[in-house]
Amino acid sequence: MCSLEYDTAMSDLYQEIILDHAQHPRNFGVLDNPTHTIRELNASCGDNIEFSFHIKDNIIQDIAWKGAGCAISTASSSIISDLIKGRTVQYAKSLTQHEVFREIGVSSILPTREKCLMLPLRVLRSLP
Amino acid sequence: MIDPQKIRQDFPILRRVVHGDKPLVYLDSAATSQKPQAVLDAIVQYYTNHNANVHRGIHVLGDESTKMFTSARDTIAKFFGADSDELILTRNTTEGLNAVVYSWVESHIRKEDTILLTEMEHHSNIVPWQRFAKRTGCSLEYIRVSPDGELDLQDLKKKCTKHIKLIAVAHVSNTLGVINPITDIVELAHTVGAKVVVDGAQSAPHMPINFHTLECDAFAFSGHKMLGPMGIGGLVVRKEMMNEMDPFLFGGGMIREVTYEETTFADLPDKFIGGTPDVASTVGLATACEYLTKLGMDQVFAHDHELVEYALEKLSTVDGVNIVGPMEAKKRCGSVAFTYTGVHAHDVAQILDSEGVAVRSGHHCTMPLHEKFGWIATTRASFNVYTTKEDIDALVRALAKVKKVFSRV
Repeated sequence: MCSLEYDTAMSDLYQEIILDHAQHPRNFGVLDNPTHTIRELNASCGDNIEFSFHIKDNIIQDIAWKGAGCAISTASSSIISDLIKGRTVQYAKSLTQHEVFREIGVSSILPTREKCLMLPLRVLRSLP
Repeated sequence: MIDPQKIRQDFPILRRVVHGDKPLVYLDSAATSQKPQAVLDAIVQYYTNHNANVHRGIHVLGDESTKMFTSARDTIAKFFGADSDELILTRNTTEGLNAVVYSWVESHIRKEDTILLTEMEHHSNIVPWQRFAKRTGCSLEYIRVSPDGELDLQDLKKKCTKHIKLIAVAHVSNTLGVINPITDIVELAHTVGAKVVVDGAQSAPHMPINFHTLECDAFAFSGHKMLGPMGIGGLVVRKEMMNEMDPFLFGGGMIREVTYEETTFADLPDKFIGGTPDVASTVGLATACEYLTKLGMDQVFAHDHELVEYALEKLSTVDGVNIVGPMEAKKRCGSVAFTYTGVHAHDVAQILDSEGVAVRSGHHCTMPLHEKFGWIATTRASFNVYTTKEDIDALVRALAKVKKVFSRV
């Protein structure tokens, strides 16, 4: 990767939307009576997140998540939790990396940080 | 005292710039060290002029290659103060530790026995034992690490009973940076008849090692952390234990006679060299050993001590930085890891990298230790012979950018 691309990727990473979500994560916490709880780990980072869902009639009525991770996985979890609240389970399961890029407003991510961004998507893939 | 500025001339990669115009500040030597030109040359020279399989072809290249391989093995063994037939070449420390399990533990440790580890071990010195314990039903116990990041010797004394058949311990912790008192551990272990296996991955690059005076039963190391190439390392084993070990990699080269029904094995060291060995990397590692010997391992250790002391002093003044492990430089070796209040280690590393500073972030393959201390992840700066105090200054300067980025929102 040439330096110009790198600098863009680097400033993309720590742009305001990511820092804002990382420091003020949305839907952070645990639901009282979740219908589904899913935990995921990033083995190489030590990142650990847990999503709880209240799913009724195939719709994600409510969602909360908690965990300790880097700015990227935290922002990604926060943004995704906002994105899927009120949507169908199928929608959540079919979310792609590309769509998360679009939400955050980045065009790519450094290869070493891809797994941080993908951590909440791995949770959604485990939905029933 | 060695002169790191002069040494840096031998390491071409350190002349690299990254992200446009930023000089590379390489502080990730505990993950892997850089390689001097002499090591790179030795590998190219081997493949360019001497490449042939060892102990097989009766021809000029076969003879040259075999001679180079044998002589490289001798050099590596000598570097560790061991005899040549006490050295088993492996790919790395992980393979060395696994070799102990498959070659000795399988036939010597039973269900009623206990293997003793420490809470600070790298996954490669936990998982092989854990898998063995699950297979056989033997017990695993861990020597406690005290709150200040040192091995609790009282706990060791308490747990070192006649049930213990083997103690596996890191010489230097890759996370806490602490040096463990191997000779004390060995003394205690041998009174109950337990073997001591040392993970030397983080000590071999920095400390003078004399396998015979260390008196442990086996010592595993990785070549790539001590200026050698990746893919070569070793396990040094005392003769008494070596005689009780069975080969664990079966195939060509390690046999004496094979019939359709039976096989007898070659003598040492060949019986542990199943298949074609990585001759070029072995030659490369021997060259690294010669390079370090020329610098003098006492001098290398003194240089490391100076860097650790300087890093502890400088990093402890940085707002937000919390150093892990003991604060006394003389108790440590090779690295200084820390947490940064409010910012995950991956974000710290990413921002440091944007300033050209390469560090390791994450759990450094010590997940249970991170869990014990409640660290999500840590950032580690680690050193080698080419590291300068200016590198540490650059780290401290780059840490200011972390604060800047994360105070924007």
